[in-house]
Amino acid sequence: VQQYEQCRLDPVDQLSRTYRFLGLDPFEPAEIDREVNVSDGRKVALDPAAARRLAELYRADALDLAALVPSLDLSLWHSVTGDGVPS
Amino acid sequence: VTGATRRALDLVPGRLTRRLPSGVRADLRHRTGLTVPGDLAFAPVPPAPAAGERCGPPDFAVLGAADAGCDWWLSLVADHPDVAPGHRSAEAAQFFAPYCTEPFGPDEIAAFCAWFPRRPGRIVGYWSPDALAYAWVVPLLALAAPGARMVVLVRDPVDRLLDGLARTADRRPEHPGSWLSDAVDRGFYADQLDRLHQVYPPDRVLVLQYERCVADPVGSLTRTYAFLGVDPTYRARPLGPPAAADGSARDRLDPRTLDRLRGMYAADVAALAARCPDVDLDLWPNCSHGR
Repeated sequence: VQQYEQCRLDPVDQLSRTYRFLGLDPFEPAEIDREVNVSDGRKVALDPAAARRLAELYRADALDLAALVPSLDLSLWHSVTGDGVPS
Repeated sequence: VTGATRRALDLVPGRLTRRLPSGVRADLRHRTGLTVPGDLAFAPVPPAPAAGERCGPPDFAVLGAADAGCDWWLSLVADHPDVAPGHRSAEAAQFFAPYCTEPFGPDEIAAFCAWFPRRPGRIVGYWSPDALAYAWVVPLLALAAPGARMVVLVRDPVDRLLDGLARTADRRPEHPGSWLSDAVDRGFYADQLDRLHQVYPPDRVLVLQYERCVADPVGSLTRTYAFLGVDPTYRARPLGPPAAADGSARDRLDPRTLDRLRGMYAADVAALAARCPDVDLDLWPNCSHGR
């Protein structure tokens, strides 16, 4: 299980994990920083109260997932930690 | 707008109407009475309350699952003289759907309550076959009707799935995966019940089994009336079965596919039975198999 945010922060390290898991030799693609399928639409602008409701909706599931996947870094998911979610 | 005009507008392909600006679409729907529940551009307005009626939060809700008889059950409950008929329209049922990412505050709560007129001394109920399936809806319902009692109908998940797919076959979208995923997910009742219990404690939730309601409508209706605090001995009319599919779709299913579906739901059914000792798995032949 790999976390999108960790892959964006450190693609070389995360790709190494993937290669190791697949039994492949270490390798660094030449275009590792090339962006793929870049979003061209604006994100939904969330009302602060709706953001809090959604954070609450997903929090328990995210904590369950973190218990199953210790490598998951919940500090990267602001809706779970509460950082960036209006109080 | 005449019925003939409405029927003619109904025939206009969606790919043409979708090209209209949302405000024009909303105005068109208002003028014609055509509704697309869940579309935020369309703001349905309930009929004004009659003289002597007042509006407020519903006293109870009959929630899905879809194709588990909740509309039929509410119609029986609403026969009771102490229960107001309410508006069992798609607009009211889908009221919360658009608010997943939208503000929901006092104005929206007041708009919701306008759907529930009742005379003094009567109770009134909300009905939705989708509220349990849409994870964001129950917390909104709890904001709008914190004191309500919840009646939940569940049905053998494989039978429910097959009848639901048959009923919605004409809505199958270009991406069949999302259509199937929605239908499959609605049968994972334990997860949905967990979410409901986070905002409505178990003593405010009555879980009924569709099959038991069909087999013993009098006993199940007596339980429901007692749970809602109205006279449980009332009988308004002969209690016939719902006009629902008979589950025969199961008999036409490939046996190995049926086994896969049973396996898919097995853990959730076990979790549901653990939470609700009244759920009798012998009434669900797809789920009692191999126990």
